Amino acid sequence: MLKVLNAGKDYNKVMAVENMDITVNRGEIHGIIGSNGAGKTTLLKCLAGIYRTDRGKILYDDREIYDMPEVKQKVAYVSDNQEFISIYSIAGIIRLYENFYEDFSVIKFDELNKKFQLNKKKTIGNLSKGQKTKLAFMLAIAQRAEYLIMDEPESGLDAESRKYFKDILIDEVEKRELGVVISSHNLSGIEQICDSLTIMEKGKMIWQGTLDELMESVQKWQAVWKDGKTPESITDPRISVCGQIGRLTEFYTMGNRDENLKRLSECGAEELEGKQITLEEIYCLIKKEKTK
Amino acid sequence: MEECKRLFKRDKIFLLCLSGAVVFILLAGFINGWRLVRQLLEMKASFMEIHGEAFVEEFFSDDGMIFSEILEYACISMMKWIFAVVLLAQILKWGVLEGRRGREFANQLPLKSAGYVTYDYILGILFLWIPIAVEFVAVMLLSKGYGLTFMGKDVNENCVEIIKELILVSFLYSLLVLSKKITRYIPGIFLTVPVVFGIGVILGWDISVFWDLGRYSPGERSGYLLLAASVPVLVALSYWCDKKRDIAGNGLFYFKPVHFLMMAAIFAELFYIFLNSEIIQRGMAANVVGVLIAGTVTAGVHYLTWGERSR
Repeated sequence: MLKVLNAGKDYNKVMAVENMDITVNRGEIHGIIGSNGAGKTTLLKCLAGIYRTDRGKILYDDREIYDMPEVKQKVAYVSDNQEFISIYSIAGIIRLYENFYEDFSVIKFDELNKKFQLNKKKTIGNLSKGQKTKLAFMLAIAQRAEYLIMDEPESGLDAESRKYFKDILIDEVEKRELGVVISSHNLSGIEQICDSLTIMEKGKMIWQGTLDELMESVQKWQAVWKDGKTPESITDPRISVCGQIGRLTEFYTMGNRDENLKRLSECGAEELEGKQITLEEIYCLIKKEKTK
Repeated sequence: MEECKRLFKRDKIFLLCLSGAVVFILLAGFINGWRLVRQLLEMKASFMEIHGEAFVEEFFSDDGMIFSEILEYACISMMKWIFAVVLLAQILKWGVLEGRRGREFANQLPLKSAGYVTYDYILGILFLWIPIAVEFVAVMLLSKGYGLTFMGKDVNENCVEIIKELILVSFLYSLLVLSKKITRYIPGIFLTVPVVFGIGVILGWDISVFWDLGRYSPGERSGYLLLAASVPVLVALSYWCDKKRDIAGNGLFYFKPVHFLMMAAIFAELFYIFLNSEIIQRGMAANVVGVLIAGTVTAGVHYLTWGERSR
């Protein structure tokens, strides 16, 4: 089990990550979302043992990762900026990984490469961003680690590769009980694969829980307001208007769905209809709400 | 892609500048050396005309010696400059050009960051600096007329010889570590450690050669210089080699027979040193002790080099 206990990290005395608590079990995918500069990459680098935390602990099966080669053997990391050594060929970097990681499987790499189709003779410096991302992902999976930390792993990938990526990841999680922490700005992608989520803002956690809890915590509605009420006249802080189409008003509510339904009817909402809400909308709403 | 192209171009420019600097140092060293030889020979000829042959023989070495001594001086001077340039270039490349990303990639790998540095430097201290310090004291005492004896033997003389051999062992070790570092680790990040270690070896060697300059014949001095010169040559070669992905990915010292051959050489060297030492009385007991000491040290070196694969 990966446990982040009250972890914090500063850069030149400026707080980058603060009071972070996360628990990720084997076989679970935990997403981390947040705006640019929220501290996601710093947190993930701490999780990968690249940075030492200034406060708190990061434990993999009760062992800290920083400067612990045995623990790092269990953790694979896909960086957002795959800056491998440009002079190495793919075959060369495979040999390097083979030497570093005890469980690295060249067979697994080759198996994955049947889908991603990278030429092993190519030097890394000649790969495109997307190809580097594919390489980093394949290396991480072939490492056969117990935990996988990924920072923006889908950036630069084409549609077909994104599908392969998702399929492979889910397969690894199911078959090998891989524990995954993934950060991404592609919220629809996160919504499809994650079991739980942490939303970060300015280095702090502003929301955490399972995806189901999150999806249930915010509702989107469409209604007509009677008694001459206008969207502007709705001052209830739990209601957030998002648009007006003719007589119809679209708005969000936070909290218990049944209670909100009852309250909205009492407030004069007619032709009330629940609408499909996306993670992106929930994220924006929570962010707005928490940073008020 | 633009970033990759830029990086490639940067590497090429870096190598070109480094090659240019090395060629410049070599040329400058030889030209300067040759000028000095000519000046001395001209001065000798003019003194010959004024003061005669007897005077010249008293104050000047013969022509061959002048040439050999100046060449020695020029070679050592050039070696140091080349070392300084390579080291500075490496630090510049590591710190400025590769910067944070290189270090982050290294931190991502399952290595104990303090481990390899500590081991290198402890070994460096044990194999190199302690013998040099002992040698320094021993030679100084001898030059002051304080001869130490143990069981009727001259300790100072033997110390010097043993320490010379130990320096040879440290030289072998440094080459081994250097080669392993290059084959095992990432080029450009960890090379600084063996380069610094190599500089330690060459400086130690220089100190010992210069300190004892008068004690050795030109032939012996050339031998030492050849060994000393081979260190920067090997470092430089390794530096160029780390640019070649094949060597970086799968080097010679991953090859078990070669590794054990090196271990056997170190063991034989240590055993030879021990048996040749006149500090202790020879005999069966000495042989057993010699084997044990040589075996222990070799096992240690083996652990630190081959064994580090699993660290």
